[in-house]
Amino acid sequence: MQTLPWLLVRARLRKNLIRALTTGAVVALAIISLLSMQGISHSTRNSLVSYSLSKLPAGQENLTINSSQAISSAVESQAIDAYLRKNMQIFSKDTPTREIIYRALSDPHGTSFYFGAIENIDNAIRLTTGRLPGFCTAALCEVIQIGGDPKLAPRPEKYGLKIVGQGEIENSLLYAGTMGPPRGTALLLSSGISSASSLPKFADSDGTSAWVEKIDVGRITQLGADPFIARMVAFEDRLSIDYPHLVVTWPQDALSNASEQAVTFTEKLSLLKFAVVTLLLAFLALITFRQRKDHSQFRASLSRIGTPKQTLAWELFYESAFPLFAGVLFAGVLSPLIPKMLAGINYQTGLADIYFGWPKYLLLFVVAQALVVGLTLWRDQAWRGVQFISLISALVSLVLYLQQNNVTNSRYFIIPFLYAAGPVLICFLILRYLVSFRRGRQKAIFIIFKEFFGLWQGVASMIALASIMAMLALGYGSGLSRQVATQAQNEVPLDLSLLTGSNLIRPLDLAGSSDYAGLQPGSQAFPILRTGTSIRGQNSVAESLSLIGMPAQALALADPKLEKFARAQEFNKPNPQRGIPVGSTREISVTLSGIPPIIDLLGWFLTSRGTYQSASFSGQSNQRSLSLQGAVPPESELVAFEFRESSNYLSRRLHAINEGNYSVPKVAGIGSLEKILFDGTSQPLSPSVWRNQNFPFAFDGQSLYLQPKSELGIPSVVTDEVTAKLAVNGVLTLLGNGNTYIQVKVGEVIPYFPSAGDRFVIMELAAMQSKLSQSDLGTIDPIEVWIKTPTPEKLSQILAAPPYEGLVVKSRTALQYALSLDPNNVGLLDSYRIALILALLMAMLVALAALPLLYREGRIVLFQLEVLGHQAITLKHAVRFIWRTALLVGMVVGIGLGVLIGRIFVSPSIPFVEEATLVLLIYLIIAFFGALLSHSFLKEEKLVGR
Amino acid sequence: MKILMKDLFYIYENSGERVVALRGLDLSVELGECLVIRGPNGSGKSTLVKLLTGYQMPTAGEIFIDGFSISEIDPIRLRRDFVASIDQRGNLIKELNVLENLTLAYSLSGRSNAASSESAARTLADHQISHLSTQSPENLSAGERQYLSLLAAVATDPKVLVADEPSEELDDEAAATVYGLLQSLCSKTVVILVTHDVRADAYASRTVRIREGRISEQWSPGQPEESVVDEFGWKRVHEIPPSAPVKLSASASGLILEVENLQLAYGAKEIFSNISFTGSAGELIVLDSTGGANSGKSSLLRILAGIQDATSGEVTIQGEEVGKLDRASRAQLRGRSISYLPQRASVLERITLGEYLSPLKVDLGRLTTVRMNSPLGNFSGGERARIELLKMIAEAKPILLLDEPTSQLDEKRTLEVIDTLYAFLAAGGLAIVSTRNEHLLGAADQRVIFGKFE
Repeated sequence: MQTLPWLLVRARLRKNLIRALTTGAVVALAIISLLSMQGISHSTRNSLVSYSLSKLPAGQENLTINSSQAISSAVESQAIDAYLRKNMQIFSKDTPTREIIYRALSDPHGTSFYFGAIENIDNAIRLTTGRLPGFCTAALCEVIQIGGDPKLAPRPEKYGLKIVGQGEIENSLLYAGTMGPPRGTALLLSSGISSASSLPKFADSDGTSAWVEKIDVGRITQLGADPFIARMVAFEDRLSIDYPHLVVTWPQDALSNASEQAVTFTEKLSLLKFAVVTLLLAFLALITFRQRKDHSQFRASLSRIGTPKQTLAWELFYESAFPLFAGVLFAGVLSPLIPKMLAGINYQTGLADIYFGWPKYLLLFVVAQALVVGLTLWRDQAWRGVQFISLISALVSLVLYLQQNNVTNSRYFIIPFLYAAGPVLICFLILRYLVSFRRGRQKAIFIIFKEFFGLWQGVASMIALASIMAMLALGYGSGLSRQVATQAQNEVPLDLSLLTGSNLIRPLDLAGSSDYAGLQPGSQAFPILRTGTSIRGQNSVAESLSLIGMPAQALALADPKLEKFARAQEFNKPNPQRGIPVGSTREISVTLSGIPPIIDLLGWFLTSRGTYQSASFSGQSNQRSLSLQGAVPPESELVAFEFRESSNYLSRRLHAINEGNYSVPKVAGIGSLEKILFDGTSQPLSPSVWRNQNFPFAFDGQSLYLQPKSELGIPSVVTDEVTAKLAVNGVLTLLGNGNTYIQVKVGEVIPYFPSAGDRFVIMELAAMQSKLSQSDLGTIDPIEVWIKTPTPEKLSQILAAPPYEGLVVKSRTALQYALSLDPNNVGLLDSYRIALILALLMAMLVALAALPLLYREGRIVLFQLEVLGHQAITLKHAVRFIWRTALLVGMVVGIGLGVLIGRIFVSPSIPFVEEATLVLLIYLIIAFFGALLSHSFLKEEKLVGR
Repeated sequence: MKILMKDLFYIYENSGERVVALRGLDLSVELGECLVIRGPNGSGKSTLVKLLTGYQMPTAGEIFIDGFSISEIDPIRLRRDFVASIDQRGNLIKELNVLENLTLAYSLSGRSNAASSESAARTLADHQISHLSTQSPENLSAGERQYLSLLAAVATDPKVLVADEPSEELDDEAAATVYGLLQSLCSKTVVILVTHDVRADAYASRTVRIREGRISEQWSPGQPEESVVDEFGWKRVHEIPPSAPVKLSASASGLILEVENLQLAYGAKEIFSNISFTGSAGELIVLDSTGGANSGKSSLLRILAGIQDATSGEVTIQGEEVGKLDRASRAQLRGRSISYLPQRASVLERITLGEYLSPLKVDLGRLTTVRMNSPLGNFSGGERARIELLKMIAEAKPILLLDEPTSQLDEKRTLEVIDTLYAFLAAGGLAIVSTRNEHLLGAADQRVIFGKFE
């Protein structure tokens, strides 16, 4: 009796081969997808830890145990060594590396250097010249020089040290971070810590011992980040008790951050995995519903000849399990390829990582089989018990599966409705409507439509589900690209941004914007002025905002929507005449009155290259002069005079104040700049423009500037929506330092502008300079340059080389690339892609298998219709028409719901136009293959078989 | 061995009405008997079969097999070990091939798989049909299917074998083979044959008639019918035979169909030859095969419908030579001029009766008001045959081709069909009917007689 079920199962599978193969293939694909996602998840968790650690400064990514004092006792040293080796085993499979360093020393010539020692120096150092150090005794200790200037080697003989060679540290753990000497200072290393620490010259020196170990990412993944952190903290506590002078340094914040990111990632991925599971279960439900009647007839036939119910139950069990098992088996056979496949897209996983948490898949198998059994017996009164048990098993297993996946997100419970039941129901209703719509029309279409309704419903539903998945996957991808692009654009509005570097104060000091533009053909460079300001908001509370000045062209390039506004006269007013052109003048002399001699005078010039430059007038009387030769390039423009206390007077005054002596007074009064001569020729200096007559001054460390007064009216600006609401009659009053203010008109209101933050006002550069110059010259100089170039990479390379290497160069493409490498994004995107491939393959399988399935199971209906007088070609066209209609319904429903779900859960701003176009293209491809598949339909010679 | 049906009542509800299908039926059958049960449609024959096979339990009364009440036996076990059954489509599992079907049957009797397989193979060999062992039931002829169904049914050595209309789709030769096998089984099992088929009488040791849920008459071969007297001494009066319908004169005339020297052969096997006849408006032509079996009547109808080609000869319908038309033109011809009702009614399941008939106005009697929205799959075979026939007559195409339209009908319903056909003929149609039914044969204007060609 035991073999009977197998006999029946074999026969059933033989009869329903297409269905079984399709099911097995879909199950295999789904499992491979889930396993791949599992691998991606595992690899991404590792990557997140590595990524977080990689962003830390050198040395901080390691686990370091420092001793605040050099440990000279060999016994103590060995004891600590043993202690650490034992207790740090849980964090890494490697043993900690020990190092020692003493405080800075200097030789008789004043050259600074450090002395340190490590064990097994030959394994850690790469020799460049000389030889490795050998002995280290109290009389003489051989050392090797690391770093420093090789031409100015220290002379450490008085410390009993002898340099025998030079080299580089190969082991990145050693002398990194706080343990490393300052850059450019030599480190002299000897071999053997105990011998070095027993050197008498260093016995009383301050030294630091350290044990360094690389954080083992694999161990973190194995233990889990949080347990790892907990163990580290416990170790830290224990160590502080056992060896109070030892201090542990480890990247706790980075690991915690990575752990949080990993949790978020896993949650997101679990949602996606559950969507894949839902897709699989929906497929199984649809295919089971379709074969429900067939199996019911089969059971009835067997029951009629007295086949025991137990046999039927086993038959159903095996029959439902077989395609699932075959799929699992097939996936199992292919699974060794998954790590290789994932390696192809930069994920490092092993089979163990892929099969991690395998009981979850067992539960999934139970869910799937119980669902199939339960639905096969749906509404069969004789099998109510089995049906009930099956559906309860499915439900319980599903709950356990969700529990295994640490479900805390309520979205899980929405997914089956939103992602399976909803689309299926909508497809059903639309197809029902279409059937009734067809009722009075071509009868052949109507009959084929209605007789095989379940099949069309299955096709439409699967296409809908696949389309949703496709829309989500593509939407997520494009959303991510947009997000990365937006992020990069926010930081680098055009192709490159040049900012103040460590060795330079202003980019324009190095070169004018035209010089940067000239570095690569076709490039444009725009100086950008950026400062902070504020505005009175509600209840007169000052609200901060960025005030940004840029040329009109830069505005249009950064936000093409503003192009028209940027071209408008009101924004792009001509640069007002500001200064006095010096031409080829060699000397400038001025006549002052009321200005004490202790006040220095400087002239500010705008060079023809666009840079600003200052030069000091000589003399302390009312007559002062400035020689321009060699100090200011010809054809510059005198744009401002700067008055300031002389540095001597200022430091004297401040020193006195520090000592409580206020006898050195502040300089104040009323002065005038009476006359200006260029090579003896008087230059017009309008008091109404320059305000050079009777200007008050009171110096307290700051400068006073005389500049030509702006002749601009109220400039038109671009601002954000919140700021725009604060305008009175369209005018914003921006507050400056003290009681100064600037008035601007609201020209354009936009929600966002790259690099501008939430609150901003963007003005034309010249207008802004002109407005600001009324109050504070120090803020008017551009310190940022935006570059638009057809060759950002080449230009970046040029800017990385001298004389520009001191600049901070940000490239939008490089930034975009760096942002796109975030393991979080990459992992999810790849998982979405896998889900997309699965969904498309499933949709193609179901859609294309539907045609031969119909022809195999429904040919007799087609023949009957032909007997009734419908032509074969009409019937074939009817089949294709309905099939395509089902595809179209599924696609439209899928795209619609995909956009809806995507906008709710992925990004509200994704237009999904490209995604919808791609889905449409896939539809056309499937339709094409469908036409090929159905080409031979109804071409048999005999119209009716036996 | 003996089966005793004692005072059986069966009452069920249909659309809120209580229907009494059996009203105190008493019947006893013993081993060695080959009992034929006849009766008009709706007399309770099918209900009796369902009670015997355990699908339904009697409302009152009991059935005993060798003294055991079948109500105490699990229905599955009852069907496996006590009462095997076959119906007009047999009992073979369509998913299994012939050998597997027999193996399954033997396995159900408790034999090991190997023994079952061996027994199945031996049975096929004994009956000289080993060549069918790998065939699917769907590829078997009706006769082969029923023959093998019987072999499978008795594989479990049941005490009773119930055959419900086993010969409905069989020609005479196949029917004879099946009945012969049934007769041979009588010696080891009680055989109860429920059928309208008069051919069964020749093989019966006793025939009973059920009317309105009770046995009304019984007779033995060659003996006159006897009224059955119940325990209270009552007996049923004889039924008044329904009156034959009257044929009306046709409203149109003219030649519609010409068949000339038609011959059909499958390879070397000739099915028929030299078939020539003509058909005119208002004519009922009957394809009569009472004199021979396997005569190819169904094939002839298919050839006339243009869905099968003859080996030679010509069929001309309304001036168009069917043999010269391509597949599409033949479909158009059928759409225009031919209604063809094969032995198996429509295979459509899901579309409703109303949708199927639309836009035709077909008078279906009670069906129109009650079940117009029911899917076709919910109708019985007999109902569907009737629906198809009425639909085709309503289509009013010039030619109506019917293959055994009355095989499941009793006398009264047969006469109703003839009446309907007369209405069709009166409207100027030509009906060509394949049948063994005496009433239809008697109503024919022309008989095309098939002989044995084997």
